Amino acid sequence: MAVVHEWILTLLIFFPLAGIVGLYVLPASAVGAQKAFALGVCMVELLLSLHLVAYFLPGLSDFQFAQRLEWLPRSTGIEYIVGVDGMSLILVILTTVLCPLVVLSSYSSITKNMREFLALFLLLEASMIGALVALDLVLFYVFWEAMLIPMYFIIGIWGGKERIYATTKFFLYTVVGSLLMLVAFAYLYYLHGQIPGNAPTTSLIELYKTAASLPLETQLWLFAATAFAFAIKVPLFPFHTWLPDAHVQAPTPGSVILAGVLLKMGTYGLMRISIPMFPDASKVAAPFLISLSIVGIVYGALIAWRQTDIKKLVAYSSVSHLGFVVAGLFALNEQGFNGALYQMVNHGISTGALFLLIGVIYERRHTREMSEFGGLAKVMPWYAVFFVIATMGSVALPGTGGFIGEWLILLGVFKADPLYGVLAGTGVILGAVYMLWMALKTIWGPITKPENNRLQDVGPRESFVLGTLCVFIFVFGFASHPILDHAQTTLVHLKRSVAMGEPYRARLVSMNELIAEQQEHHVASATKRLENKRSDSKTESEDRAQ
Amino acid sequence: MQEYESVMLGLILFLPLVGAILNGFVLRRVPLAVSATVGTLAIAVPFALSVPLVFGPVLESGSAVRLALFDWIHIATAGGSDFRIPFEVSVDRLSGTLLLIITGVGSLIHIYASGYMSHEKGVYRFYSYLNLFVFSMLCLALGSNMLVTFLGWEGVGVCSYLLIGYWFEKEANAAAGMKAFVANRVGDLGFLVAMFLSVKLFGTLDYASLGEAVASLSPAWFEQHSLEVTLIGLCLLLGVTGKSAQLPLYVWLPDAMAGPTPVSALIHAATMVTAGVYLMARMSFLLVHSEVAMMAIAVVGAATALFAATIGLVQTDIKKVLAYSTVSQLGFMVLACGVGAFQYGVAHLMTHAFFKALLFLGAGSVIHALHHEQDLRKMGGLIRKMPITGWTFVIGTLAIIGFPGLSGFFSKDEILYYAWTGSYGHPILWGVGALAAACTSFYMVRLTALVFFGKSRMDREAEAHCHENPLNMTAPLMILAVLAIVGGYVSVPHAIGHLFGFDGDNLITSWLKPVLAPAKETMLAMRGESHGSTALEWGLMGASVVAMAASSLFAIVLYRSGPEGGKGLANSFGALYRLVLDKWRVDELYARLIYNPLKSIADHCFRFGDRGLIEGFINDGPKGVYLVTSVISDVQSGLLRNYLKLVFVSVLVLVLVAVS
Repeated sequence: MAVVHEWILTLLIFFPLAGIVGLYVLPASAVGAQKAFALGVCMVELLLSLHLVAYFLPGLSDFQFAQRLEWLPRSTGIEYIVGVDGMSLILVILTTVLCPLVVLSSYSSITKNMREFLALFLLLEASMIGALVALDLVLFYVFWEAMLIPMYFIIGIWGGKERIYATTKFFLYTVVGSLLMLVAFAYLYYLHGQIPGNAPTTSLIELYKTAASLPLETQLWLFAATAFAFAIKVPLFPFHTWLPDAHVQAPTPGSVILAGVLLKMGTYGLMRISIPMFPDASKVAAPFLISLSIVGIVYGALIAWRQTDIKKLVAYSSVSHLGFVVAGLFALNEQGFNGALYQMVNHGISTGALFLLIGVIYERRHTREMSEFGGLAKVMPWYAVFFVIATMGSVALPGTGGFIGEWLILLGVFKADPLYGVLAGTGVILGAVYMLWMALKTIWGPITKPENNRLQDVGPRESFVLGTLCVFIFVFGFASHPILDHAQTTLVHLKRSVAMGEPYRARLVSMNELIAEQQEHHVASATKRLENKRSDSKTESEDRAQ
Repeated sequence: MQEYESVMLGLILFLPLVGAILNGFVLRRVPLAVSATVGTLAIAVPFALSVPLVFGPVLESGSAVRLALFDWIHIATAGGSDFRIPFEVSVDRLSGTLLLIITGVGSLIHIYASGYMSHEKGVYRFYSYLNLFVFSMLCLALGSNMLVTFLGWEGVGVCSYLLIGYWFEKEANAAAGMKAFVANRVGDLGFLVAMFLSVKLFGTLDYASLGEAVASLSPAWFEQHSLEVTLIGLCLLLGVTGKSAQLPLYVWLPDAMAGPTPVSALIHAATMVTAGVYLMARMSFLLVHSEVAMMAIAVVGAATALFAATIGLVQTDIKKVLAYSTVSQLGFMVLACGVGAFQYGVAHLMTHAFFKALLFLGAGSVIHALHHEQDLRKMGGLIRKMPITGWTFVIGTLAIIGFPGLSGFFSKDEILYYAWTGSYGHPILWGVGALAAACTSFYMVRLTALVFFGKSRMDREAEAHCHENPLNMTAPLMILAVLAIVGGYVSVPHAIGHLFGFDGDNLITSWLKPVLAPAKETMLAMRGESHGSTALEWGLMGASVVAMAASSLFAIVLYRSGPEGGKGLANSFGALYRLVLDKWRVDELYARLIYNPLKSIADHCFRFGDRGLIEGFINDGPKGVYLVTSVISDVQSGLLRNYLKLVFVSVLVLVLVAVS
């Protein structure tokens, strides 16, 4: 077990890569076997990730399951450091849970070059996990860019008619942002080296200290550069225009993983890097970023409402929803942080479900125009059930996970500034407008197109994928503790360091040391108890003697 | 004992949910009788359990029976304290009243629906929604903090959305459902903000803790925080205007009549729409601290009562008349709360649940018999064909117009009396209320006369098929008719009680005393004793009886021989008549003021914002930079590389601009 504790994160990163090798060992013509194999890899990955849940200590804000290896020459200070805390743990699990479902959905939506698709998808999973657990800036950057490559090809090869335009746009936008981030990282690395007595390092934990003690102006510049990169990824208004194109052109599994996990990389970056590294700058920039988020909430919602392409509608709804997440983050209080993290998970689930639902009818009709549908509830009753549940999850109905997230975010923003809270709250109304509009035009009303009369309802595989997500929508509507309990120590720690303007302090803890420590503590307390008992009995016997 | 009560409460709360899941997912291919039985039992058993619970422990102790299920939200804060919102339900006398109404009237309507929906396919869906509705409504009423109430508050909204659009194949029905949901969401934003303010001011959402916190604060504190407290009141009022269909958000309720009639009876008359009144009674201890909020509530209530009643005067669709009547009656309840007579708001909530459910079910019975004919002008003389429906409908009418001795008389009369004399009462409020009451008599008598009396105006075929409905539809009518007669005796006016040698509080006042006492004490301290007298009470009662009798007689005279009787009168009002007939053109006003501008803003955002400004900048910006740089530098080979570089530079410029 000791070995597993030490190597688990590295295993999580490299296991999907090993899976790629496996895929190419299988004969090229055995598409069915490749599908099953890729699913198996993702399932094993999911099981492996549950090891983290089983042994994670929610009471610690430190980076657990940490591992530190040499990678590049020591003089560079660039190391291989991985570890998880509350916030990354939650997102790692989100990723490993979504991936098998996405592979399942690709069975019918990907019709050519299956093996290449699955290989790219596994590469994507590996790099996403890597970006989430990396604690060295260069390592983080490598995984961050590595995520781009498979996604670039997934949209570019398996996408719709205008896939090349969309994928180029997606690539350029993200790369532009990340280049700025790289500049910021390099400058920070340089500044760190300038301080006497410092060995060069790119370790996030070391740089937290350096960055937070920089003068405000420098902090602001560096904050802006990193936040800019993450804001594009989120995407925050006005950097969002790549998203509708990418979503519309991407194949269904691409859209699901894009909405489900990739967008959260932006908000995760803000939480992991921008805010804790530059607490003072975060406080200064918070009103500006909350304002942008609120504009995004309203603007995204309004545009979503007027779309005729159903996938574009959901893409713009993501702009609105992610606006809530960023607003919650920059409320810079416990409710905002918890709500934002909660909403990241739930947006992944409900929007993932919505893209799958769109995929279902796209596969049957090869169109995404809302006017081509209508009245589907009559011919596809189970489809309608899933559709309504995903819709309600998306409008954050109480009882669905979206509600707890959105409610905490709004409460956090309201606490930061009541006016912002109310303005962001209008998104609650507009969210209902565009989502119900979509439902009205798609599943309700009369069947206007004769082609729709013969549509097949969802099959067992589709039902399984959608059903799983729908169950999660309700489970997280009531049971918030699986997420909040694991994350809150970390988030409280984050809030405290931002509020004090102090560097974010966290240790790398290896589980083996921790367990040894605990056992020692256990033995110590047991001996103590024993001693107490002995002295008790002593006094008792003394009493009796008297 | 404690445990036993908790189990009962758990069963009451969750049986409807179990029913919804069974009907929705398991029993999709069973005959109607099975769906109906499961659906009805899921409500009737909780009713049977509620009676001993409410009249046992709740009555005896006067305090609440609580059931804490789990921590819904729990986060630690940097200060070391926990932010915790439990998922907890409780029954006290106020929520107990609601509990009995919801499950009692709910059971009757579930039974009735088995007849009404007998010609429909796939009724499992109907019963599933209906059960889910009752579950949500129970969360709303039983929740012991605002967030659980809000779960129910929005949950009933969704069920209402699904049930209004039950016959979704007609797009208008589905659109009506959407309208209801969106209008409610506007109100829900008010509820949300009220919650945030409560957390900010008092640090809790639990009603009991809120009550304690408010009670422990000094008048000086309230003076200092008068703005926030008033805002809580006004935000709650916004929520109420959405859910309880008050001005200006009432527009969804008339459209909601697109749903099956049992739904109109249960959701859009007896239970859901009264949630706002319940909320105000629940939060009364806080509302009364703000004079502005109380007055706003009273004004909104009175204005809605009259406004909706005027529209009711001219409607020709049997359900639309009842819908506007419901809006108007809800106005009375809100008025009662606004003047500080919360107990009579609740009393009227109850009597209205009886007689309006009766009227809607009666209307449904007619509609069912006439194969979905809803036009008053094509009815007439039905009492001969459908005696049970007809006579119970007459009882319902007499109850709602306030015929002495029936339930509406007592509850409405008390509201009007307090509209004049209550802590926040004013003679003008009484005047508006009395006028609305007179209108009520007119449109209800007109409705009854046109449907059940006079000559038949049905076409021959319809007349031949038309007959009284089976017992599963008429039995609920008869039970509700009895309740509509006797329900009002809980709120016998003081003057009448005095006549019979009874001088204490009437039933509803003493029943709700434990819940409403803090509000009453606060009002007493802030506004002094109310200035009523027995003489005034008799005077106002006399005036409303005379007004009721006069407008009823007027309606009988006009419409005794059919709908033509009103034509002359209508024409003499000309433009005003047409305006009222068009429902004051409020929908058109909203379309012009809100819907269309928002739509065009959205279109502009997309065309000029996204496609024009941002895309233009991203796509053309680099071109501009490219033009400049190409002059001074060699053109590089490889388009993508250039493009990349230029985008990079231009975005850099953007960031510089944004940061500086």
